Amino acid sequence: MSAVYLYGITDRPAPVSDGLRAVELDSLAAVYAPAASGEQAATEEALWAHEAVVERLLEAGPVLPARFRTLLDDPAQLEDELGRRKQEFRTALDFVRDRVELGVRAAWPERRPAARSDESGSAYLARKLSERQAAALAAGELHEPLASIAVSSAIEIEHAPCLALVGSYLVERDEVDAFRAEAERLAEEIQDVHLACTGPWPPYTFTGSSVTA
Amino acid sequence: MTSTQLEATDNVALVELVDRLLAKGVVVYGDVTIAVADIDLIQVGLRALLSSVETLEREP
Repeated sequence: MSAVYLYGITDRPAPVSDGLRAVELDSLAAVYAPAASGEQAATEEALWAHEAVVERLLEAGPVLPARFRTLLDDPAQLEDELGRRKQEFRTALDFVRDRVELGVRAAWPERRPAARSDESGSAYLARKLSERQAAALAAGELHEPLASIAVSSAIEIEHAPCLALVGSYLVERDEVDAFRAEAERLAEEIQDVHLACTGPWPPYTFTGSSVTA
Repeated sequence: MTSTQLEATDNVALVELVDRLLAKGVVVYGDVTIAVADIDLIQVGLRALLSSVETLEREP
């Protein structure tokens, strides 16, 4: 059975080429490609292929990337969705205009949680406190300077196998170099941290109504 | 860049990609089919994350 594979929402007219098509409504476009329905393995190759299409859209203008393997029955169904959510998409698209996402993955290999076998109530509380302090440290030392350059950000703190921060930062295109330079400076300055900065990515993390400026 | 460092960078990029494409992005409710059958990739992602942390650990 045939289906349509959604790549993302863009401004109208959609920057389509190379087999891509678009449904357009008001000032919005939904860019898709005809596809076979059914499951497709999420292989590394398939993920990078999806990413390459979205990056091409991003070169032309703002894009709200669709989640991998978003399939709809036909273009009419896509048009319905576009119509139903056009205000949400319009607001989100304007929010990410001229902005890109940068990924930061930081790990403090020395900071590992203590052994947890036969943990008593007080040991549990002590561990929770120590995890909270570790999170505050990561946020304070690393996240805050980066967040001050970014327009919006979303972070998660992990405690095992070691303290780690996984962050996404929405950055003005012309601030990308400044952000990277700050990340490098922090990697040098903060003791025991190992840090990788990836991107620029399309704004996968900043597509929704939950995003706050 | 040494091959080990290059591999670590590739691993981190893959993990970052998996995180974004499978867990983020616009969700359109229609007849949506997201392939979750491929457990292997998620495990690859986890392994890559762990190995990237370990590889980063070994760097001076």
